[in-house]
This record gives sequence, structure tokens and C-alpha cells, in this order.
Amino acid sequence: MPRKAQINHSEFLRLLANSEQIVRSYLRSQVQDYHHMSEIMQNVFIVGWKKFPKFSGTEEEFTKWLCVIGRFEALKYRQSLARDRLVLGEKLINLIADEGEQEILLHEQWSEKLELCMKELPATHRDFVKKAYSPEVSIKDLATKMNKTPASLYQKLSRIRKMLSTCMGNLADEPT
Amino acid sequence: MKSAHIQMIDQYFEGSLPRENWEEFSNALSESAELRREFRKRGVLDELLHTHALGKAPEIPYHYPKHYTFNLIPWIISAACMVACFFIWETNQKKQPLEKAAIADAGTAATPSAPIAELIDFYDLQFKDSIKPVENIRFDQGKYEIERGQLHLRFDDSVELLFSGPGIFEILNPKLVSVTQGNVRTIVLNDKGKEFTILSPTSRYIDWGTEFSLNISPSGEDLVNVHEGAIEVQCLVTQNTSKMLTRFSEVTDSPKFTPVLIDKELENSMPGEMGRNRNQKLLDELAADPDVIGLYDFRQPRTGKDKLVSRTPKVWEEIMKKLELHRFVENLHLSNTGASHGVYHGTNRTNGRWPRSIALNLFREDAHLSLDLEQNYENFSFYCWLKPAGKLNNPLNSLIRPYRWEEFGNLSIEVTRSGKLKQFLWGELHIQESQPSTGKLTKDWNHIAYTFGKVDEKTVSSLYLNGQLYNEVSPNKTDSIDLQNMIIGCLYNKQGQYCNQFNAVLDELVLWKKTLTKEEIANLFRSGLPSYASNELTLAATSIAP
Repeated sequence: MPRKAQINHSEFLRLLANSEQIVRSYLRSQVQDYHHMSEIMQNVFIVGWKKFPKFSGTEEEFTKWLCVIGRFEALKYRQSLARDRLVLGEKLINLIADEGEQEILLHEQWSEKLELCMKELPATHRDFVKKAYSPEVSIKDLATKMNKTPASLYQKLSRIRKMLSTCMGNLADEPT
Repeated sequence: MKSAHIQMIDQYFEGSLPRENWEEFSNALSESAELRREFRKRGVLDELLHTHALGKAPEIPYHYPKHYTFNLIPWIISAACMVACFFIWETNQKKQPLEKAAIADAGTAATPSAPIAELIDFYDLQFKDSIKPVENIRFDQGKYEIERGQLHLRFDDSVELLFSGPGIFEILNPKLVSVTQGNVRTIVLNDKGKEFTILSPTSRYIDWGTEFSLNISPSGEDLVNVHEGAIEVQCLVTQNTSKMLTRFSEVTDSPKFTPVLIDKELENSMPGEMGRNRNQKLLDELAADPDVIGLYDFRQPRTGKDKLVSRTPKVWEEIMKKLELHRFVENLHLSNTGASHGVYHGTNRTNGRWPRSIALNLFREDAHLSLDLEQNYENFSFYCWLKPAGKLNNPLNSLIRPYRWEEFGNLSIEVTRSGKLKQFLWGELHIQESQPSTGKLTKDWNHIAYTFGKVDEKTVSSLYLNGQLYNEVSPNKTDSIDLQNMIIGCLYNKQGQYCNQFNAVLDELVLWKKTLTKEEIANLFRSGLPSYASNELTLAATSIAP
């Protein structure tokens, strides 16, 4: 690999490592099924890598740039589901994405707040959240293991998310 | 923002948003910027929680420079506020009575995330001077005045507090609640909840891991009844006086040093009772609904046997006078004559899904309930709640069908050994292939509903599980449902044998002469959902009393 390309490569990976979480968070509201996120993110990386030589900007701008790529990849994914009636309209998704762009820089704070709020949760709740969001276990499997109904676990998760959301809301945003 | 919309956001990310709610959800998002922001925040939260579950904390980028402008004014204002707060705090500390001063030592401070008490359930609840939906109230330190209704709170995953109004209570910290008026039931769920204390105007009740009811009136004596374990009663006025009370304490053991009277009959609201009240309200409405033809809650008949035998299912007519009263299941609909009373065989009554409610246990191999309908119905629906009582013993376990399987209109609903639902219509062989399996019965209570009728000029036969469409078929030749002689819980074959027993507990059965909509089914499911009963903490609650 030529030296310039090597520098580009390592620089790209460094920027990517710092941006990935924010891009994923930004795209989550545009991609209903979490299981499709990995595929979309993979496409974002590939497209980003291909276009990286043309990118010139700060690190902050890189994240926003990657989010824009992600937005189009999410849109493509949505179009592949267009035959299914159960997708949000394109106009609405665009609106959500547009508004979401203004909040990209807040994601860092939300991450920090979540960390704090997770610590405030009772240990049993923390453990349950970890199990419920684990990629290897579905809620149905978990319900069977715990001898509960999936509905009761969804309810419990919903309550915990509400607590976390309230907690995060209670911690004031820092100026960005 | 409506709480229903927040719930839809959750369901959206879980992938469980019901088909019929998509339009409403989409419209609400389009119309409300606030809801869209919450939607995005929940999306971020979902993503972060997934990352968290992978065992790594979300990576927080370090590269964004933060441009804070250093401005002295906010610092000066903050410092001034802190000084003022310190003086106010110090002054208040001096004024506080002993009891409240002790609170600071006894309590753990409220966390910024979770409220001190978690809302579990409520019924017909009205707070004084508050129009806020109860779901949106944060139960933190403070005084709460209830004009009417019932409230169920949980403290620190360890104590259940059920409060019935009218009354006033004040949450002082996670282990201390002051009640000046109202009826309370307290249940300590685990060791963490020991020493949970209730203050009345005259006494202090320290819970040592137990369950007890307490009625407090503003100026009279308190009434107390310990259901399990032990509590310590202390007098607030006289120091060093206390007495342990247990469920064995008699009225004569009432403490003399403080106005507390033991009342062995006292039974305040129990967990699940609020759900039962809500459900009873629904059943009362259904009993007067002209489209309902049958309503059965499986309690002992409240009507005399003379009236019951006048509408006995045909198969029991010959021996109806010999039937014991308890064998009848009364149709509770007020005026409709569309369905008979029921008669059961090989079953017994057992606990239903609410406290003090009754269900039918189809435990024997020939266990069943017989019912007659007056006629065939072009539009027909029913729902029931049921819970498998163990393993399903047969390849097909029969829930509902006619005694004779012989003509168009005969409907049969069966459940496979693995818990999948199947519907059959006589002469409509093609529908067997068009029933994808989209879920199965759980070990808990399941809501099963069925509808038949024309939708957009097309006859549709639909099965629902837990409020959601399970499968939908279009019969070719069936134009009405014929369940005139119906058997529930097993199958009666041509050889005159009962087989294909459905080993389950049946709770609540309602029949309609109309086709319920998806929304109506979803609402019926939600109204009757025993949410509290499926709560793991409560089910795990055991006595930890000393």
C-alpha cells in the first residue's frame, strides 16, 4: 500500500472509531429494525471510505458528513422495504433526519448522561437491560428462560426506558 | 405528548407496533415536533442500550472541542444562590421537629434518575388540585392529597404500598411515608424493604418484613391488622414505648400507650385489585351491551336454579333437575336471550387472574363446558382468557367447537401441542393451508379472540392472540357461524367419547352477535390484561418476616 494511502487509511479508521456511535445513534430513528443497522453501517463505511479522498474538513465535519452518507443509505434501505406498508413515509423520515442533524452534537452528551443514569438504576434492572438488549437473546427466549410472558418483559423494559429517559431529561444539557 | 404515543415509540423500536396503529403513529409524528424529538431521543437511547449490552460503554468521542466562554456573572449568581440556600437550610434544620430531622439520617437520597416510588397501578384516582395524568406524576419527596380512588406504588424494588383515598400521604424518603388520612396496605418484598416505616399523626409503624393493613383517620385511633409477619408500633408522643404485633395478636393486645386498635377484619386493597376493578367496570358495561349474547365470569350462580334450568344447554336437558347448582355457569348478560346458561362437567372452579376472581379449571380428560346459542350468526365474535394448566396433551387440543361436526357454519378452534392456534370451518378445507403461525400461547394468561363477518363485502374469519391478529381466512361457502350446541374444552366424537382435552384454566368468556374490529379486540385485551399479576417481583414475594 502506498504511504499516502496508508495515512489516509489510518486517518479514516481513527475518525470512524470516533464517529461510529454517533452515526449509529443518528440513524436509529430512521431504521426501524435494529438487525438491519449493521448492514447499513457497513455500507456507510464502504461509501465513506470510497469518498474519503474527496473529504476535507474537521473531525466534527467528518461525523456530520458520515451521517449524511448514512441518511442516504437508510433511505435506500427504506425503499427496499417500500412494498411493505409498515414503514414511515419518506417525507416524515426526511423531516426526522433533517431535525436530527441539528442534534448530532448532543448525542455525545446523551451518551454521557445515559452512563450516569445507568449507574443510578437498581442492579437488577441494569442486569435485565443488558440481557434484553443482548444480540444473542430475543425477548421471547428471555421470557421463556425467566418463565414470564414476552408482554410482561416488554412492559418492564418500557418502564426502565421511561426511567432512563426521565433521568436523562433531568440532567441539564451542556452548552455545545 | 400522549403516553399512548410514547408507548407506540417503544413498540416501533421493538418491532411490535400493531399494524392498526401505524397510521395514528405516523400522523402524530408528522404533527408534533416535540414527539419527533422524543422519537429521536428514544432511538438514540435504544442504540446506546444495544451498545451497552455488548459489554462496552458507548464510546464517547473525545475530539470535539468545547467552546465555553468564561463569563463571571453566572458564577457570581451561583455562588450567591449557594450562600442563600445554606442559610435557608440551616434555619429550617433548627425549626424541624425531631422526627423530620431523623429523616435525613434514615433515608437514602432520591436518585436523579428514578423517582422514589414507582407507579404500579391505579384505579379511579383523583388527586386534589391536579389535572396531570397519573402516569406523568413523579412520586418523589412531597405531599399527595387524594380525593378518591386507589393507588399502588413500589419503593426501591422492595416495598409495595397500596393506598386508598380519600386521604393524604407524604413521601419523606424511600423508607418513610407519613399518612395523615387514608387506608394503606404495605407488603415488604425482600430484605431491602425491612424497616419501611409509616407515620400516622400519633404512631410509628415499622415493618419488619410483613404484610399489614392500616387505616388512619386524622383525629381518631388507627386501625391495624397484620396479615403476615410482624410490625413494631411506637408511640410518637411517649418515648421508649413500643410493641410488636403479629397476625396472632388479638384485639386485646392493642397497645395502650398509643391510640391503635387491632381490627382482625381489616382487609385493605390487595395487589391486582385495581386491575380487577377496572375489568369489572368493563364487564358491567358488556352486561348491558345489546350486541353481547353471552357473558360468563364463572363465579357461583347468583340466580336461583329454577331460572337457570329454564335455559339449560340441550345436551343436559334430560337431567337438568338433578344437576347441582354449582354445575351451572350463569350467563350474566342483563337482557339478551341469545345464549343459554352453561353447564360444566369434569372441571372445578379455581382462582382467576385477579384477586378473588374465579376461573374454570378444565383439568380432567373429559372436562368441558356446554353452551347453546339460539341461532346461527352472520356476524359473530368471542373472546376468552385462558392459561395452560400444564402440558398440552394432544396433537390438537380443542378450545371451542359444536357437539356435531356436520355442516357449513360449524367452527372449531384448536391449539397444537406446541401452542399454535388453528381455526377450522366445516367444509372449508382450503383454510388450513392459509394459516401461518405467528406466535403461540404463553404459560401465562392468554387472550384469545375470534371474529366472523363481512369486511368490505368479503367474509372474513379471524383469530386474535393477545390483542393482535393471529390469522385471517376467507371462507368460500360459510355465511354464518353455527355453534348452536357448543362444547368448550374438549371434543365430542362420533363414538360419543370426549377427547382432545384442552388442559387449561378458562377465565371470562364473552360472545357477541357482531364482528368486533381490530381496535375493539386490542382494547379488550388491554382492559383485561392482568399486568400486575405478571410482575415478577410480586410473584416472587415470600414471607421474610422474622
